[in-house]
Amino acid sequence: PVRISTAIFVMEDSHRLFLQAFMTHYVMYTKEVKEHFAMALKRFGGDYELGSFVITINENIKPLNLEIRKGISEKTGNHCYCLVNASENHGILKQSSDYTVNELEYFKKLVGEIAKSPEGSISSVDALNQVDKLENVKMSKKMAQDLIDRFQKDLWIISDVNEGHISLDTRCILELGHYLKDTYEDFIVNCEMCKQICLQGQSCGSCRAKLHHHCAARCFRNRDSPKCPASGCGAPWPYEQPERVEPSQQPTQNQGRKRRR
Amino acid sequence: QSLTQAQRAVSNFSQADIQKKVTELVQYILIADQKKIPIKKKEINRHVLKEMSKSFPILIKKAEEQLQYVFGFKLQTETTGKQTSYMLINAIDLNEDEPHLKWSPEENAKTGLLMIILSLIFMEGNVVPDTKLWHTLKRLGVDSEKNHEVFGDVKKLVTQEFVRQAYLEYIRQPNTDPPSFEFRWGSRAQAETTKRNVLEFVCQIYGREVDDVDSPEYGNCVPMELTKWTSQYQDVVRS
Ligand SMILES: [Mg+2]
Ligand SMILES: [Mg+2]
Ligand SMILES: [Zn+2]
Ligand SMILES: [Zn+2]
Repeated sequence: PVRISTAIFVMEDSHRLFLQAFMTHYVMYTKEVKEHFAMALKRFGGDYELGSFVITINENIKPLNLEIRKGISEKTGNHCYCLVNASENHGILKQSSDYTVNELEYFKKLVGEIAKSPEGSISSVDALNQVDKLENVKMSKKMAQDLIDRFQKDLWIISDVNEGHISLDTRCILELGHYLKDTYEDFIVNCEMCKQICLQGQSCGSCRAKLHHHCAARCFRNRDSPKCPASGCGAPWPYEQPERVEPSQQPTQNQGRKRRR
Repeated sequence: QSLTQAQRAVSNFSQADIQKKVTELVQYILIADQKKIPIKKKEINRHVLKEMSKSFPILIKKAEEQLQYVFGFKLQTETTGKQTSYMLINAIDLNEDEPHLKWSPEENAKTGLLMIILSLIFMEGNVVPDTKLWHTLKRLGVDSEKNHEVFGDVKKLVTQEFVRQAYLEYIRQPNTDPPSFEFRWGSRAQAETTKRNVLEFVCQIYGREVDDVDSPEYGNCVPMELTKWTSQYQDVVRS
């Protein structure tokens, strides 16, 4: 019996070529995605718009527990597309072709600590100290540091050497967002503006509301005295917004700075 | 094992079970291919099919169809003696009629890099160990350990993209730990490109003025020993 959706969403060579790019890259920023899309259409023709093109692919890879998801970097505001493991078993946490079971246990620990933190990040020192909390595994801090470097290279974790902390990269949030909200629901809130899970961002001083840096910049653009957008709050927003709103490669330039009182 | 035996075996299972098994099989093949682990029938039966191993011919055919339809991958069979193993190659028709110049600068640069790699493999007697390839590229200014300005993840480009497109073969050497690999020309390079074209291309590039060699497309290229390349080219032309 053919799934009705796959009878409607027919794969062409253009879709396949585009999908193959994701099998190689897993994560691509918008510029590169658009290049691959343009190349696929140039080579094989077709009158497609990117959104429905991706939907067609997603309908066909859904049975394989794969999905192309679009996300926004909490650090830079840049848009990216990720091929994620969409299974209920939460993919990377249970199995991975890149990491051993022991390495995944450490990864799960890091993810949990970051999810529970109010700022969506933990210090590098805390991150390394998590090896002491591992149950079935004996891991040195050197091994842990090497692992963190690999997690960073594979775009799961961001390790900010200047700030001395680690946080979750977009790929991780896209793949594990549901799991994090379920498992750590007491700790995690959604951004007041875009309603998506918010780990790194700006917190209201008076209520639980939080905003992504890029959402705050958009929300408070050209406002003299920004106020908390949560209904029933309205307290003065305790962050200064940068003047430029465009996403940039330098995260600290884009993020609002906390006001001194 | 005949097809009718397999059909009889598979009729013991529900459609849902069969579909689930095919899904697991496709996922297994994709992961094994990515890790460059040889995909062996024996391993498939042991780790994936298990109680449904008798239905192997039917299940592998369904997996093949799904890989072809969704990804444009062809599942190539290799039988050596009693062992059957599989490899994923690209089934999408990649023949372009348009000249390379119409592509983006990134694609032109990729073609250049591929040509250089094909030349190197040829010069080394049609096979080159991976370590030697990375070393040579590094001397040319393309460091596979670092993120490249134009190519990005060079290792991925060479060992995955170029291999997918069947320009290169990236073959794991048995009994090596840590694993070592060797590179050969892929079926596509052999079909489309003669050795003469490859050498002609390389001589054109390295016969240029230093300014051109340092153009943004090639990064900080270090010129190769020009005499070695041009004499090889003369040999091919004369033959
Ligand atoms: Mg690319
Ligand atoms: Mg590309
Ligand atoms: Zn937001
Ligand atoms: Zn508030």
